[in-house]
Amino acid sequence: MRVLVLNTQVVFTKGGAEIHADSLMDALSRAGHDAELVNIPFKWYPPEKILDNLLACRMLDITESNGVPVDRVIGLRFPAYHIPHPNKVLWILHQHRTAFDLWGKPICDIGCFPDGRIVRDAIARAEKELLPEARAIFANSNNVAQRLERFCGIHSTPLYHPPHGAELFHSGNDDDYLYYPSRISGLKRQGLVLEALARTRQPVRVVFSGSADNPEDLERLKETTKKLGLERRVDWLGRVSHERMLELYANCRAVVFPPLDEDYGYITLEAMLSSKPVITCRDSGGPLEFVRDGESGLVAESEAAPLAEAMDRIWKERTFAVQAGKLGRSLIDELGINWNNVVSKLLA
Amino acid sequence: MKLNFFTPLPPLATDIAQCVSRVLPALAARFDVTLWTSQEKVDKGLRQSFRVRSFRPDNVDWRELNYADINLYNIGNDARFHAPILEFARRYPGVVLMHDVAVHELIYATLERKPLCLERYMELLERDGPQAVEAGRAFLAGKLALRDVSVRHPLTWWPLERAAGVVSHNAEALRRAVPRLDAPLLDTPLPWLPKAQMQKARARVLDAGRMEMLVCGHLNSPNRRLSQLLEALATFPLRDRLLLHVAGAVKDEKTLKQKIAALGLRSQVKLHGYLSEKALGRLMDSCHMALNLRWPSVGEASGAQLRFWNHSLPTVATKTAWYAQQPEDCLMLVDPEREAEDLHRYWNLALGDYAGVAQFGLRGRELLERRHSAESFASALEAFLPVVERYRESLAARPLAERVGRALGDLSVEDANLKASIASRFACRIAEMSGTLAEDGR
Repeated sequence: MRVLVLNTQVVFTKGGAEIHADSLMDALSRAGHDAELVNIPFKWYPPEKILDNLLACRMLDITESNGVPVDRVIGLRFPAYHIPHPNKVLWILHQHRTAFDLWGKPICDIGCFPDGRIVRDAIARAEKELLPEARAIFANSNNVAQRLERFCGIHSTPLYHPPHGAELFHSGNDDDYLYYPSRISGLKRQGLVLEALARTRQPVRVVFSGSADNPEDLERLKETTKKLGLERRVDWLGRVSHERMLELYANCRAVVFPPLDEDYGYITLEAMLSSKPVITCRDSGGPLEFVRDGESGLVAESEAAPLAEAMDRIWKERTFAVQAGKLGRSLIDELGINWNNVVSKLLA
Repeated sequence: MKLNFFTPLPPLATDIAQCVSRVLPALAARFDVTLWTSQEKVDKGLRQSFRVRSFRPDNVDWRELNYADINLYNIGNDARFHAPILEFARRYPGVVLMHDVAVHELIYATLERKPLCLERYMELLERDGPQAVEAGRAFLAGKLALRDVSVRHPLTWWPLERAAGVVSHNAEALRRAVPRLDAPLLDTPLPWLPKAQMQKARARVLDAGRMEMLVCGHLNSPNRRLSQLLEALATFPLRDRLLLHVAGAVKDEKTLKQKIAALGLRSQVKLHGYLSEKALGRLMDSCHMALNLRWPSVGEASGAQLRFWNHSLPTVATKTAWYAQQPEDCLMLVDPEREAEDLHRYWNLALGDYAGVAQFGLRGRELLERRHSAESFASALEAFLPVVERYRESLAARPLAERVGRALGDLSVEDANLKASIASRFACRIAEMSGTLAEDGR
């Protein structure tokens, strides 16, 4: 099959969505398909740019190339997934979240603009009108599927996939640090982890890795680290190689991952594949589909004090941490999440 | 549901402000209400019961508007109270509550406060058409009164260009003034007193065969017909049996007094000036007839009329606009072409059979109770909300199309057919996105 994968690219930014698209491309190639990735550059401010981008996508014709038809199109992210094609399947990573679940939240940028409301309403209408064009709609998690249902009344089927290089994750030592690998961003709430760390009673250490969406965010976090007197208990590694990341996973005590309403969250799965317990929050979204509170990890309220308590417990109760990590690994094995299943569903 | 209400509030001496304070409890029962005003002083009672916020059109936290379910703009014709609200309604889409159909005077007075007033005014008239431009020039040259320009060219469309919805108490006139109104329109009667505050309905009798009449409100505008009313009174043979109370703002009292003297009406007219609500209410109770003339009408729904009915006061009004649409047994209507003649006829009728005339007031009062409650207004607004929300989803389509138009212009495509074909494909896609594409693909 000649397959096009449609993704949206915020240029100079690399995160879960880009890894997801690359992994899907690998899986399609391994399955013998002629697959190509189409990345649409995306700028979301001022808000009317979102609609300009959407309209630009709608004007593209990808039904064929050089006279040869494109057999299947797989749309991943807004607005790229609205490029028209008669054989389009959607596997939605997330919608434009500030128009839906993040609307009205402090992080919502479009609400600060005079045209924010009408742009938000226009996005909602476009989603309701255009998403049903697809012959099938999958979501990358149950959380994303629920949002689609709640905000647009559109049914979709959750379709899980393994993280990139899943077979390489392994368990190592049980060293004295918690690991938080993620893009540095407001939604990932690294700041909350710092506040919690300042309240712990145990000598907990946290190692952060990942690049910042905006370098100023990282500077602010470093200032907070200093202000809270945590310099000797926090490491900011920045972007690390995949090999280094595997080692950091393998040797940590636990993974801490408390984002705000994460779509899916590779980090949860990667921690489980590394036999590490996960500390997350009740409003963290995707991770809650995998973490069993008190068994394979801990789920805390998204405030500094309860999160600190969970970090203290994992630090203090080493045996529990090890057992929870092992349980996480067996749970992920039982789920049978693999790319063959994903590819066969998307091309059915 | 969050409601931002941009409105004049008491103690401002305007019927709209009084009306708002009376409808607020019914709105608050259905919405989480925030009142937005540009006035400095607001009644203490209102501040205690409601969230009152100040606004300046040039300094806004857009989140407060974006996160509300409905932003409601109260638009009347007096720029002192409504100019900042008009500016806001032009800038941010919301539901526009139109108390008057003709808003030309408001618009001119609003522009008058701004730089490049005349240029902006003429640009606006150009959009209305060549006749509006001509009339505007005549007004600026002092050859035509602004009120007359307003009647011919009401500019009703201007506050509504970005409206997500329109509420009118006079929908028929509004539709005539804006035949291509895109926004949904809610036609609902002007809200009035909650039942608990209503006056007792009462039948009146004439004392010693003498009839007292009342004219009140903002009487400066020539369309309130004060001058013609005095002339009709002066020529009425039984004028000694009539007493006219004039209550309300009059710009040039000296000239008015001179006219009254010249017409020999010193014993027939009593000037009160501006009266408090309470004093005006007492006067409405003691009078036998109200005179509520408007010609030409600017399409207003009269708050004063509802107040007269609240006091069961029989009223003579002009057979035009909103008044002409009221049940004919609730108002005594005069033909503007035969104004004095008809006034004389009703005065004769009242002096001969006042009991029959009093029934107009009692029936008006019944109508008020039936149709003009605050509750019915609030519930109509609540039911209107889903319609507004649905329409608001398509509001971004027009500016998007305008951006496409500009981008196409930049391409310098000279072939008109090619240009039209590209524009048509864009239009089709925009219509798809906004859910406005017809089934036949147009």
